[in-house]
Amino acid sequence: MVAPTQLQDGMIQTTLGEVPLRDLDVRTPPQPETEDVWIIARECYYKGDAFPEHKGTLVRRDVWVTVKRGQSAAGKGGL
Amino acid sequence: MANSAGLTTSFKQDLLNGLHAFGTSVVRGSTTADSFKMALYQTTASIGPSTTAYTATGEVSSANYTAGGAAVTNGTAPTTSGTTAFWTPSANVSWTNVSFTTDCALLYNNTAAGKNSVGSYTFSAQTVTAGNFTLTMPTNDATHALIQIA
Repeated sequence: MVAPTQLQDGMIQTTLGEVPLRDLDVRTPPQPETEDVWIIARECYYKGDAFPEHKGTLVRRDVWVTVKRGQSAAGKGGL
Repeated sequence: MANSAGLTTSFKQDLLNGLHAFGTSVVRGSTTADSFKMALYQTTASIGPSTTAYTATGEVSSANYTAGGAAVTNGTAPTTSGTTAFWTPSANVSWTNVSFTTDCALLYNNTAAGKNSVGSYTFSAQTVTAGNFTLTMPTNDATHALIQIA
């Protein structure tokens, strides 16, 4: 089973078009968490040889925003 | 300007006026439940509790993002626990292969002629780059549901 932040082997869509997963450095940097929201971000940096001018460049970023608690009509609606 | 979170004030009034129908069966003239959508906004937008309806002003723009946002799956009827009524979409809302920066999602009634607002949900600004953006819904109970009326 592949975790949401994992990319499956194969070609991955990026700003450079589709590139092999092996050409990407995948990171999940810590994101701010509040009592109402939890965020996960997955960042892919290019490390391949096909586009040497883009080495080290962020070429894809996915985001998951989990609403831990919604809004109440009884009080403050801030997250 | 900036975005802020909260069930919109107009939504509370619209509830009293019987405007919204979240249920899978409807107790009013119409025989079908309303459909709802989530739209995403830029950090410079002014979405919040004073927002009365969907607006394209300040909405994010991207390939694979359709203006007006994405449909919300409404497969669970509103229910109660104790003195609280609540409702949560029955599925997450997501966009695939998009690029934008957002910090706010507006839930609105897409069936209503006025695209009346329901609630504004904010989070720290996030940039999506040639990737997927997913809004994961909370647990549907009295203290976590997307909409709670205590």
